[in-house]
Amino acid sequence: MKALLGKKLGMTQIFSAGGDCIPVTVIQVERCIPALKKTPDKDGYQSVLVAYGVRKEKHTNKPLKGIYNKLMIEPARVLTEFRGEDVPDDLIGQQLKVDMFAEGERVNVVGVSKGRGFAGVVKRHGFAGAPASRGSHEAFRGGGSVGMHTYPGHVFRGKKMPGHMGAERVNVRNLQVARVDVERNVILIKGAVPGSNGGLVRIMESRKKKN
Amino acid sequence: MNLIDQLEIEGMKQEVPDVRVGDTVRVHMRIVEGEKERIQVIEGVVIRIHGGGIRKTLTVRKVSFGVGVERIFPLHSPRVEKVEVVKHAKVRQARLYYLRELRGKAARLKELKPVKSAEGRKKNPRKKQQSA
Repeated sequence: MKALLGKKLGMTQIFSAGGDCIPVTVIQVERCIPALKKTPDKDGYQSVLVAYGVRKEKHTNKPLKGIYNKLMIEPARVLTEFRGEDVPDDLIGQQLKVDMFAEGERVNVVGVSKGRGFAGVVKRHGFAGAPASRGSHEAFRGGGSVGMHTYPGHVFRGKKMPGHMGAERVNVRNLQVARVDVERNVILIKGAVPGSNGGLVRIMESRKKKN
Repeated sequence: MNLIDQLEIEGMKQEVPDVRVGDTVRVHMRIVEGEKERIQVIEGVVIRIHGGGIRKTLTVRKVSFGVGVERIFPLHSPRVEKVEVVKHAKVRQARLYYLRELRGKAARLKELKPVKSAEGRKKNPRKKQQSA
Protein backbone atom coordinates (compact mmCIF):
# COMPACT_ATOMS: atom_id res chain seq x y z
CA MET A 1 0.00 0.00 0.00
CA LYS A 2 1.08 3.51 -0.67
CA ALA A 3 -0.75 5.74 1.74
CA LEU A 4 0.08 7.35 5.05
CA LEU A 5 -1.39 9.46 7.78
CA GLY A 6 0.86 12.10 9.29
CA LYS A 7 1.04 15.21 11.40
CA LYS A 8 1.88 18.48 9.70
CA LEU A 9 4.63 20.05 11.80
CA GLY A 10 5.20 23.22 9.80
CA MET A 11 7.29 24.60 7.00
CA THR A 12 10.97 25.26 6.49
CA GLN A 13 13.39 25.15 3.61
CA ILE A 14 16.11 22.87 2.36
CA PHE A 15 18.80 23.29 -0.28
CA SER A 16 19.11 20.96 -3.23
CA ALA A 17 22.46 19.62 -4.38
CA GLY A 18 22.61 22.36 -6.97
CA GLY A 19 22.05 25.02 -4.32
CA ASP A 20 18.41 25.75 -5.11
CA CYS A 21 16.27 26.61 -2.15
CA ILE A 22 13.21 24.37 -1.82
CA PRO A 23 10.29 25.32 0.45
CA VAL A 24 9.08 22.20 2.24
CA THR A 25 6.37 21.10 4.63
CA VAL A 26 7.51 18.71 7.35
CA ILE A 27 5.13 15.83 8.01
CA GLN A 28 5.81 13.43 10.84
CA VAL A 29 4.32 9.97 10.76
CA GLU A 30 3.76 8.79 14.30
CA ARG A 31 2.05 5.54 15.24
CA CYS A 32 0.35 4.54 12.00
CA ILE A 33 -0.65 0.94 11.51
CA PRO A 34 -2.88 -0.91 9.09
CA ALA A 35 -5.54 -2.51 11.24
CA LEU A 36 -7.82 -4.30 8.85
CA LYS A 37 -8.10 -5.19 5.22
CA LYS A 38 -11.39 -5.01 3.40
CA THR A 39 -11.81 -7.12 0.30
CA PRO A 40 -14.33 -7.14 -2.54
CA ASP A 41 -15.41 -10.67 -1.63
CA LYS A 42 -16.20 -9.90 1.97
CA ASP A 43 -17.01 -6.20 2.05
CA GLY A 44 -17.83 -5.36 -1.55
CA TYR A 45 -14.81 -3.11 -2.06
CA GLN A 46 -11.06 -2.98 -1.54
CA SER A 47 -9.61 -0.87 1.25
CA VAL A 48 -7.28 -0.76 4.21
CA LEU A 49 -8.28 0.51 7.62
CA VAL A 50 -5.46 2.49 9.24
CA ALA A 51 -5.17 3.39 12.91
CA TYR A 52 -3.25 6.55 13.78
CA GLY A 53 -1.96 7.95 17.06
CA VAL A 54 -2.59 6.92 20.62
CA ARG A 55 -5.87 7.13 22.50
CA LYS A 56 -5.72 7.43 26.25
CA GLU A 57 -7.41 4.83 28.39
CA LYS A 58 -9.76 7.42 29.93
CA HIS A 59 -10.92 8.50 26.47
CA THR A 60 -11.68 4.99 25.33
CA ASN A 61 -15.26 4.11 26.11
CA LYS A 62 -16.68 0.63 26.09
CA PRO A 63 -17.93 0.57 22.48
CA LEU A 64 -14.53 1.83 21.26
CA LYS A 65 -12.76 -0.77 23.36
CA GLY A 66 -14.89 -3.40 21.69
CA ILE A 67 -13.82 -2.19 18.25
CA TYR A 68 -10.12 -2.12 19.08
CA ASN A 69 -10.26 -5.47 20.87
CA LYS A 70 -11.74 -6.99 17.75
CA LEU A 71 -9.00 -5.42 15.63
CA MET A 72 -6.47 -6.61 18.22
CA ILE A 73 -4.61 -3.29 18.42
CA GLU A 74 -4.12 -0.60 21.04
CA PRO A 75 -6.81 2.14 20.87
CA ALA A 76 -5.90 4.86 18.35
CA ARG A 77 -6.74 8.53 17.97
CA VAL A 78 -8.30 8.02 14.58
CA LEU A 79 -9.33 5.10 12.48
CA THR A 80 -9.55 5.86 8.80
CA GLU A 81 -9.93 4.03 5.57
CA PHE A 82 -7.83 4.18 2.41
CA ARG A 83 -9.95 2.91 -0.43
CA GLY A 84 -8.39 0.96 -3.24
CA GLU A 85 -5.31 0.13 -1.17
CA ASP A 86 -4.07 -3.34 -0.45
CA VAL A 87 -1.68 -4.58 2.20
CA PRO A 88 0.02 -7.97 2.70
CA ASP A 89 -1.41 -9.89 5.66
CA ASP A 90 1.88 -10.01 7.55
CA LEU A 91 2.10 -6.19 7.58
CA ILE A 92 -1.19 -5.76 9.38
CA GLY A 93 -0.43 -4.36 12.82
CA GLN A 94 3.04 -3.21 11.74
CA GLN A 95 4.14 0.44 11.80
CA LEU A 96 4.01 2.12 8.38
CA LYS A 97 7.29 3.64 7.26
CA VAL A 98 7.81 6.70 5.14
CA ASP A 99 10.21 4.85 2.86
CA MET A 100 7.22 3.62 0.88
CA PHE A 101 7.61 6.97 -0.86
CA ALA A 102 10.77 7.91 -2.73
CA GLU A 103 12.27 11.32 -3.25
CA GLY A 104 10.89 13.05 -6.30
CA GLU A 105 7.72 10.99 -6.30
CA ARG A 106 4.36 12.71 -6.79
CA VAL A 107 1.76 12.50 -4.04
CA ASN A 108 -1.67 13.84 -3.19
CA VAL A 109 -2.11 15.36 0.24
CA VAL A 110 -5.49 15.70 1.92
CA GLY A 111 -6.01 17.86 4.98
CA VAL A 112 -8.57 20.03 6.70
CA SER A 113 -8.01 23.67 5.75
CA LYS A 114 -7.68 26.42 8.34
CA GLY A 115 -11.07 27.72 9.45
CA ARG A 116 -11.78 31.34 8.49
CA GLY A 117 -15.06 31.65 10.32
CA PHE A 118 -17.86 33.71 8.74
CA ALA A 119 -16.06 35.36 5.85
CA GLY A 120 -17.20 38.08 3.48
CA VAL A 121 -17.30 37.80 -0.29
CA VAL A 122 -13.94 39.50 -0.84
CA LYS A 123 -12.08 36.86 1.15
CA ARG A 124 -14.38 33.96 0.40
CA HIS A 125 -14.98 34.36 -3.31
CA GLY A 126 -12.34 36.85 -4.40
CA PHE A 127 -14.78 39.66 -5.21
CA ALA A 128 -13.08 42.96 -5.98
CA GLY A 129 -15.05 45.08 -3.53
CA ALA A 130 -16.14 48.63 -4.29
CA PRO A 131 -13.98 51.70 -4.99
CA ALA A 132 -12.66 53.35 -1.85
CA SER A 133 -13.25 56.87 -3.15
CA ARG A 134 -15.07 58.79 -5.93
CA GLY A 135 -18.41 58.97 -4.20
CA SER A 136 -18.33 55.55 -2.55
CA HIS A 137 -20.47 55.34 0.52
CA GLU A 138 -20.29 52.70 3.22
CA ALA A 139 -19.98 49.75 0.86
CA PHE A 140 -16.33 48.94 0.39
CA ARG A 141 -16.27 45.18 0.68
CA GLY A 142 -19.87 44.38 -0.14
CA GLY A 143 -20.96 41.95 -2.79
CA GLY A 144 -23.28 44.32 -4.65
CA SER A 145 -26.60 43.22 -6.08
CA VAL A 146 -27.77 39.66 -5.56
CA GLY A 147 -30.43 39.60 -8.25
CA MET A 148 -32.83 41.39 -10.60
CA HIS A 149 -36.49 42.37 -10.10
CA THR A 150 -39.96 40.87 -10.30
CA TYR A 151 -38.54 38.65 -12.95
CA PRO A 152 -36.99 36.24 -11.89
CA GLY A 153 -38.30 37.16 -8.45
CA HIS A 154 -35.81 35.08 -6.51
CA VAL A 155 -32.10 34.87 -5.88
CA PHE A 156 -30.40 32.32 -8.07
CA ARG A 157 -29.22 29.17 -6.44
CA GLY A 158 -25.47 29.09 -5.88
CA LYS A 159 -25.19 32.90 -5.69
CA LYS A 160 -21.86 33.68 -4.05
CA MET A 161 -22.52 35.24 -0.68
CA PRO A 162 -20.77 35.61 2.67
CA GLY A 163 -20.67 32.57 4.88
CA HIS A 164 -18.50 30.04 6.59
CA MET A 165 -15.11 29.52 4.98
CA GLY A 166 -12.38 26.98 5.54
CA ALA A 167 -12.25 24.02 7.94
CA GLU A 168 -13.12 21.73 5.04
CA ARG A 169 -11.42 18.79 3.45
CA VAL A 170 -8.96 19.91 0.79
CA ASN A 171 -7.07 17.66 -1.58
CA VAL A 172 -3.88 19.03 -3.11
CA ARG A 173 -2.71 16.91 -6.00
CA ASN A 174 0.63 16.22 -7.57
CA LEU A 175 2.94 17.48 -4.83
CA GLN A 176 6.54 16.38 -4.95
CA VAL A 177 8.31 14.45 -2.21
CA ALA A 178 11.43 16.46 -1.42
CA ARG A 179 13.07 14.24 1.18
CA VAL A 180 12.38 11.13 3.21
CA ASP A 181 13.86 10.60 6.67
CA VAL A 182 13.29 6.97 7.60
CA GLU A 183 15.03 7.22 10.96
CA ARG A 184 12.61 9.79 12.30
CA ASN A 185 9.74 8.68 10.05
CA VAL A 186 9.46 12.18 8.63
CA ILE A 187 8.58 13.11 5.07
CA LEU A 188 9.29 16.50 3.52
CA ILE A 189 6.92 17.62 0.78
CA LYS A 190 7.69 20.45 -1.56
CA GLY A 191 5.32 23.37 -1.12
CA ALA A 192 2.41 23.88 1.21
CA VAL A 193 -0.19 21.39 2.38
CA PRO A 194 -3.66 22.21 3.73
CA GLY A 195 -4.35 22.74 7.42
CA SER A 196 -2.75 24.25 10.46
CA ASN A 197 0.40 22.97 12.11
CA GLY A 198 -0.33 19.89 14.15
CA GLY A 199 -3.18 18.91 11.87
CA LEU A 200 -3.60 15.42 10.48
CA VAL A 201 -2.97 14.90 6.76
CA ARG A 202 -3.38 11.96 4.43
CA ILE A 203 -0.60 11.30 1.95
CA MET A 204 -1.44 9.16 -1.04
CA GLU A 205 0.25 8.22 -4.25
CA SER A 206 -0.67 10.60 -7.04
CA ARG A 207 -2.60 8.89 -9.76
CA LYS A 208 -2.23 11.80 -12.15
CA LYS A 209 1.40 11.81 -13.14
CA LYS A 210 4.08 9.21 -12.64
CA ASN A 211 7.67 10.31 -12.48
CA MET B 1 14.09 20.78 20.64
CA ASN B 2 11.38 20.42 18.09
CA LEU B 3 11.82 18.38 14.98
CA ILE B 4 11.86 21.23 12.50
CA ASP B 5 14.74 22.89 14.34
CA GLN B 6 16.61 19.61 14.30
CA LEU B 7 16.09 19.24 10.57
CA GLU B 8 17.23 22.82 10.01
CA ILE B 9 20.41 22.34 12.01
CA GLU B 10 21.30 19.31 9.91
CA GLY B 11 21.15 21.36 6.74
CA MET B 12 23.03 24.30 8.18
CA LYS B 13 26.70 25.05 7.64
CA GLN B 14 28.98 24.23 10.52
CA GLU B 15 31.00 27.40 10.40
CA VAL B 16 29.34 30.70 9.72
CA PRO B 17 30.86 33.92 10.93
CA ASP B 18 29.01 36.05 13.43
CA VAL B 19 27.74 38.73 11.09
CA ARG B 20 25.96 41.78 12.45
CA VAL B 21 24.02 44.52 10.77
CA GLY B 22 26.43 47.28 9.72
CA ASP B 23 29.31 44.89 9.12
CA THR B 24 31.20 45.18 5.87
CA VAL B 25 31.41 41.69 4.43
CA ARG B 26 32.94 39.94 1.46
CA VAL B 27 30.59 37.26 0.16
CA HIS B 28 32.16 34.60 -2.01
CA MET B 29 29.47 33.43 -4.36
CA ARG B 30 29.78 30.31 -6.46
CA ILE B 31 28.51 31.03 -9.95
CA VAL B 32 27.89 28.37 -12.56
CA GLU B 33 28.03 29.54 -16.15
CA GLY B 34 27.25 26.66 -18.43
CA GLU B 35 30.06 24.21 -17.75
CA LYS B 36 32.35 26.53 -15.85
CA GLU B 37 32.20 27.41 -12.23
CA ARG B 38 33.78 30.48 -10.72
CA ILE B 39 33.77 32.41 -7.50
CA GLN B 40 32.51 35.96 -7.46
CA VAL B 41 33.21 38.21 -4.52
CA ILE B 42 30.72 40.87 -3.53
CA GLU B 43 31.79 43.35 -0.88
CA GLY B 44 29.30 45.61 0.84
CA VAL B 45 27.49 46.59 3.99
CA VAL B 46 24.98 44.27 5.64
CA ILE B 47 21.84 46.36 5.91
CA ARG B 48 19.47 43.64 7.00
CA ILE B 49 19.53 40.19 8.59
CA HIS B 50 16.35 38.25 8.08
CA GLY B 51 15.13 34.92 9.38
CA GLY B 52 16.86 32.40 11.57
CA GLY B 53 18.20 28.90 11.34
CA ILE B 54 18.64 27.66 7.81
CA ARG B 55 16.40 30.47 6.54
CA LYS B 56 18.77 33.23 7.60
CA THR B 57 19.58 35.74 4.86
CA LEU B 58 21.86 38.75 4.59
CA THR B 59 21.03 41.78 2.48
CA VAL B 60 24.29 43.28 1.29
CA ARG B 61 24.41 46.76 -0.21
CA LYS B 62 27.21 48.16 -2.27
CA VAL B 63 27.53 51.13 -4.57
CA SER B 64 28.74 49.88 -7.91
CA PHE B 65 29.68 52.49 -10.52
CA GLY B 66 27.44 55.02 -8.85
CA VAL B 67 24.48 52.69 -8.70
CA GLY B 68 23.31 51.20 -5.43
CA VAL B 69 23.10 47.41 -5.63
CA GLU B 70 21.50 45.18 -3.00
CA ARG B 71 21.70 41.43 -3.01
CA ILE B 72 20.10 38.97 -0.65
CA PHE B 73 22.21 35.95 0.25
CA PRO B 74 20.82 32.86 1.95
CA LEU B 75 23.61 32.35 4.45
CA HIS B 76 23.37 28.57 4.43
CA SER B 77 23.05 28.11 0.68
CA PRO B 78 25.73 25.89 -0.87
CA ARG B 79 26.16 28.65 -3.45
CA VAL B 80 27.49 30.98 -0.80
CA GLU B 81 31.04 29.67 -0.52
CA LYS B 82 32.30 31.90 2.26
CA VAL B 83 31.43 35.07 4.12
CA GLU B 84 34.26 37.20 5.49
CA VAL B 85 33.70 40.02 7.90
CA VAL B 86 35.94 42.89 6.87
CA LYS B 87 34.96 45.40 9.52
CA HIS B 88 32.36 46.10 12.14
CA ALA B 89 30.55 49.36 12.52
CA LYS B 90 28.55 51.07 15.20
CA VAL B 91 24.90 51.07 14.24
CA ARG B 92 21.77 51.91 16.17
CA GLN B 93 19.18 50.35 13.89
CA ALA B 94 18.48 46.76 12.98
CA ARG B 95 17.65 47.73 9.39
CA LEU B 96 19.92 50.24 7.70
CA TYR B 97 17.50 51.33 5.00
CA TYR B 98 18.47 54.94 5.61
CA LEU B 99 21.72 54.26 3.76
CA ARG B 100 19.75 54.17 0.53
CA GLU B 101 19.18 57.88 0.69
CA LEU B 102 22.78 58.69 1.50
CA ARG B 103 25.70 59.00 -0.89
CA GLY B 104 29.46 59.18 -0.53
CA LYS B 105 30.84 60.44 2.74
CA ALA B 106 27.42 60.60 4.37
CA ALA B 107 26.90 56.90 3.79
CA ARG B 108 29.86 55.90 5.93
CA LEU B 109 29.37 54.10 9.21
CA LYS B 110 31.45 54.65 12.31
CA GLU B 111 33.85 51.77 12.56
CA LEU B 112 34.22 49.75 15.71
CA LYS B 113 37.81 48.94 16.53
CA PRO B 114 39.45 46.64 17.10
CA VAL B 115 37.60 43.79 15.42
CA LYS B 116 36.57 41.62 18.31
CA SER B 117 37.67 38.02 18.29
CA ALA B 118 35.01 35.41 17.73
CA GLU B 119 35.48 34.27 21.30
CA GLY B 120 35.00 37.73 22.71
CA ARG B 121 31.80 38.29 20.79
CA LYS B 122 30.19 35.14 22.03
CA LYS B 123 30.37 36.46 25.56
CA ASN B 124 28.00 39.23 24.63
CA PRO B 125 24.93 38.44 26.73
CA ARG B 126 22.53 40.01 24.23
CA LYS B 127 23.41 37.43 21.63
CA LYS B 128 22.32 33.84 21.97
CA GLN B 129 25.04 31.23 21.70
CA GLN B 130 25.38 29.98 18.16
CA SER B 131 24.40 26.33 18.16
CA ALA B 132 26.55 24.14 15.98
